[in-house]
Amino acid sequence: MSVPDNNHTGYGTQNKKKSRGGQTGFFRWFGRNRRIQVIFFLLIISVPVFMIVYGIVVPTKNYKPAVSAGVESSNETAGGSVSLTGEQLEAVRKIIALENERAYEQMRLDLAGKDSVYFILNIPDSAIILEIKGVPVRVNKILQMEVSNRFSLISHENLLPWISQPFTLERDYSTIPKSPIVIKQAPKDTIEAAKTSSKPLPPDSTAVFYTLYFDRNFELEIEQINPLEKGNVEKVKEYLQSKKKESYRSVIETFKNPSLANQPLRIKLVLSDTDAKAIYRAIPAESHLILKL
Amino acid sequence: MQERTADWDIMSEAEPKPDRPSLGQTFLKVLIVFFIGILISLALSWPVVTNFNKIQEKALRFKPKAELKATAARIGVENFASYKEQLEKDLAGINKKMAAWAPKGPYLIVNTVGNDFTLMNGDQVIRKGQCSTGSYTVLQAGDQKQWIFKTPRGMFKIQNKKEQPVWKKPDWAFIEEGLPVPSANHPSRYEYGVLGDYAMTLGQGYMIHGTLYKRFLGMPVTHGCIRMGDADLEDVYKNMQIGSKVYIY
Repeated sequence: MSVPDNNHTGYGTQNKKKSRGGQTGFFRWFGRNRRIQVIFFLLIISVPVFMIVYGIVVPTKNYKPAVSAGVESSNETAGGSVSLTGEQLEAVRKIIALENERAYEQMRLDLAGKDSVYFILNIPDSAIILEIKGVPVRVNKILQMEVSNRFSLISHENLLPWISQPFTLERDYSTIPKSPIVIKQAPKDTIEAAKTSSKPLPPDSTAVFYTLYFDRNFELEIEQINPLEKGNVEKVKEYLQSKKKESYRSVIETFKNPSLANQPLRIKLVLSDTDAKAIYRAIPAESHLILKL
Repeated sequence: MQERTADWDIMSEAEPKPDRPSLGQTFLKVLIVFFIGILISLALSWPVVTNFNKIQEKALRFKPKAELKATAARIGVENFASYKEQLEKDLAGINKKMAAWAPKGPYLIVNTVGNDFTLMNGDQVIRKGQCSTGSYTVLQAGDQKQWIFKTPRGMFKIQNKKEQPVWKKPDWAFIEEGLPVPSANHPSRYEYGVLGDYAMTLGQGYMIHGTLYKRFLGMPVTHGCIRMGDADLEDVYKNMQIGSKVYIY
């Protein structure tokens, strides 16, 4: 029988050089130690698995599709015993479409009487419409759209009360100013006035990104298509950084309270730069939005 | 098992027993493994963090879609036809009321962001063109006075129409030029020909009029009024009547 190789034991020897011995000894120890390898592997996957399970699987599994605290999802079970034929299902679909249409037109009518400028997000027609007193003054085609999958999970019974009232804009965050105000001091005399340039300022070419935060936990993100690195690039970077931070905060919130119900319902739109800018500048501070789904 | 015991016996006689690492050394190694493991784990979870909402959205696809049964139960299968009829009736009533808001006759839409206008009649576009609207300049004269030159937004009506209008210069027009402000009806307040051939008043001192600065059409340069080119102004003037609606956004 030969003398056992010390390396097989994973223990360092005094004969090894100290400098290499520390490293190789560690790797040999690790390489031969099955239990440590398993622990190491478990450690590696622990955080991602925890995040996926606790942050995604559990909230998704437990998600009860209701959109606001005032609307219970108990109606889901109310129809449990109803069995419908194909024809009846079609009739229900038509009724749902009519109820949505009635709610939409009623909101337009209400706002036409009250509000001066409001806007409509028409998802089925992929359009964003600016209206003044019931008259559409600008109809913009939505170029790209990302609608949260949560909308398709919420039953009509829960969704209808939520969309039957116009949303009120609470705050916004944008890369461009709401009003491009320039402050000018009055000249002291005609000589000073003559020196003042009367040329209009060149238009601001900063890429247009903004988020509109509405009541009832609804957020609308709008950005221009093909944002060019022009204008106030710092402002755009700041915006994107802020959105990242917002996203990280939402991750933390999910871990604190693993429920999707508290998270805002989001829709993201991509418009042309002129449309994105016109919509943002046109809507008043506490503007109203009609959402047509 | 027996052989192995023998090996150890031989070894213990032939060579000195290898050093077993101390508890401290092993602990250090375990600590290193733990630390590296956690670091790799955090690095691996970074894509999850950055795409958290997207992953959540994808996970939601596996949940069953909303059903129609609750709606059917609320209405009652036997009431489908009558309820649908009621809904159609309601909708027709709302649409009728909504139609009352639609302008009768030609109306003007002014876009202050793009500085353009559209003259409409019902769904028909009569004319489109460039205009100039408020510059959003704030003119400050000392601590006391300031003016903001912006075009108001909302719905307005043509209150008056004038041919060959005369501009009665307000105070800011003098202050902006570094001139002393004259008395209310001083002759220097009246300027002829600067507003073009036509003007339509919207109230609160705002007008739609012509301009001498045609090169600035399409740009926000005015003190709040809406300036148009000669041909556009003439068409707008002829189509719009007193009471016609002007929508500004």
